Amino acid sequence: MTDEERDQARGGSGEPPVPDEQSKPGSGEPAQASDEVTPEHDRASGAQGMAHPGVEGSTAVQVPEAHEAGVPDDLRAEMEEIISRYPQVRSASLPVLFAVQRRYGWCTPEGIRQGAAVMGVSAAYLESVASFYDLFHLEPAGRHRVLVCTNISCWMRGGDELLESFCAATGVDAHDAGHGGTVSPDGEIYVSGFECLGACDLAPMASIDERYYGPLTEDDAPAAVRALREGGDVLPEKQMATRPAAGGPDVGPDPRAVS
Amino acid sequence: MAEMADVQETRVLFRNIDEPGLPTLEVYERLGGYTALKRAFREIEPGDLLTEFENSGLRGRGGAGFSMGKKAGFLPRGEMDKYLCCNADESEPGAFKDRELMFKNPHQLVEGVAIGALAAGATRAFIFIRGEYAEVADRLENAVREAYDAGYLGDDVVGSGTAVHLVVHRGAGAYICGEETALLDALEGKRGNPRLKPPFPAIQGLYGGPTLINNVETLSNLPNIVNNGADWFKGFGTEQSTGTKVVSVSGCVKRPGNYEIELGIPSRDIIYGLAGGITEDRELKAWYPGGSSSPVLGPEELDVPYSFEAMAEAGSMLGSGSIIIADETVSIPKMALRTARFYQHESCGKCTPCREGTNWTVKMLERVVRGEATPMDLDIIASVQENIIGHCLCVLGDSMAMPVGAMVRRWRGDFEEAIARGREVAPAPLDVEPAIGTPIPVGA
Repeated sequence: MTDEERDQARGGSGEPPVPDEQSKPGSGEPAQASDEVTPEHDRASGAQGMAHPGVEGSTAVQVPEAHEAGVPDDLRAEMEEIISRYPQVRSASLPVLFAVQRRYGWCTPEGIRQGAAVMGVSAAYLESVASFYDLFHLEPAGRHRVLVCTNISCWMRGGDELLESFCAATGVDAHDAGHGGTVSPDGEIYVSGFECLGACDLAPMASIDERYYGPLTEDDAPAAVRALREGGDVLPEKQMATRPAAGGPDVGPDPRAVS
Repeated sequence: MAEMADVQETRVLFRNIDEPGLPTLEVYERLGGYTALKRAFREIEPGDLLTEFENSGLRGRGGAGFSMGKKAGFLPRGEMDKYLCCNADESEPGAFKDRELMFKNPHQLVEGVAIGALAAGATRAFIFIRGEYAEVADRLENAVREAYDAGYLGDDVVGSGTAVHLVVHRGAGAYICGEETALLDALEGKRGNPRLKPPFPAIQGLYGGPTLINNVETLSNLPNIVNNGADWFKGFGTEQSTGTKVVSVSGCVKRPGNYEIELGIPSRDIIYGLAGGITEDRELKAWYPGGSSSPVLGPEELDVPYSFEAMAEAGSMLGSGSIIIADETVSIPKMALRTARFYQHESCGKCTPCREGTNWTVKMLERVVRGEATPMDLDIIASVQENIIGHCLCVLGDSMAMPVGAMVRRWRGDFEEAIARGREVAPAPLDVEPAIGTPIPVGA
């Protein structure tokens, strides 16, 4: 059974229908719309869509055309490979957004449009997905990312103080770093207090450019930041990858554990 | 209390865990890997596999502790597109066992997923791993590639004629996606909101098809059960909690980390034996036995056996098997606040009791910690928790309400003291904004 046949068998059309009014660009800003709606604007985006919900023509307005989105060829190839992994195209939303973020440093409006064009969904849909997840940046987010865990176990072992030292080392405002993260004044390093990163054994710990480090002392923060700025190896001795299991590497298998 | 001598780990899933090169196919195969997969696909009927899993008594290691075999048995029989999703979202504060299992032994999980898919009749499988675990996901993807190349995944697994396809899908930072129906929405490319149940995923899950969802550790156990049989597995643990369990111990202990134990050993052995006791030999004050969503226990419960049934009887739960220790210097009101803030941040906002309940609980606890609360606030906090439990689509709200409710009940004196102390000291100026990242020194 091909994917199309499978979709048809379920009564779908390849992707779940999206109500028009939800995915119109700009419809999420009612205040602005009511202030600035001109008769032309009204006809073009709002009234017509409302009058013909779900017709083919109105979908064409929402989904960006691939040629006008200007998707670079290699990015398009990457996205198409991602889409091919899944039975339904929408499942590619998260990996496509990650691809956009890798390419442009953050989920730029243009990048989201490009992803939407390749996926055949509206840019508004993709942006609504991106805005739900903490790891997608909808604003510029520096070249390096430092996420410091401040949850229960790390808090008990000095996570808040560690976040402060990363703020001091990067020049980031501590309040902003604790409220969703922010970028250093030179635009290089993004620092954010973060929910439990799943490495309480390394507490207090941080994720630096997607690699885990811990347990960290307050002195490790300036050293890590220096390495990031100068392009050196970040805290080689504190990498999670180098740690044996807590019970030690020499604990043998249980005698009953035959394989 | 001094350190206890001679408590041994029971390494089954963790055997060979630090063997150099274990993440590669070559070393994994050399140590006996994929023999279970070959047997299962070539010699065993899927129905018999299910029976074996059910007989083994294997219970879900993700939190709910439901029988793995029973759950798989709920999937309808017959020709249709079925799916298996491995829940590797592990975002519960205190839990980090799946990270080590996947990072150091990714092929054990890949083999388990393939066997689980065979038993469930699923030809497509997904591992939904949290996005923060990027370096773990890299290793998993590499293991999946190697397994495809070796014929352990693909259209014709080891020449059996059965297909299993596996995709590693990265989440993007949302605790709620560990909830199984939110996980499905995220995997379908949507915002991760939980769905109304029923229908349960076993009947209508991913893309509307029957879907089996199991935790990393649950699936990692399957190759061992295939190789050694259900009776062998039942030789570990207690009657109702069979097998071994990887326990994550963290907080105020000397040796935080993952330890594999036989279910049913005294909790004290884990905390004082394996994890080396409390930091600087201080007194234990409180502990979460099963992650941040489990009702908090005290020193009196240290001898409770670490099993699903004994923890439930003690008024808490084993959950994902994550012990967080707070010693005598930790302020319970501040720990309650830290816990509540997490759930406030992670609430998806779909159900009112959770969205509003977590938010107001945080506000009230901030008042307690800043010394602006009245004793009446404690009653209100307690009643808010009661109004959250059982009133939402998923258990995220309950996950805050249970530990916070337990702390307010059990350590009410600590909360009252915090309030009274705050009133003696000059009140905090009103323009000081409570901040998520505001440093609160331990024990201050």
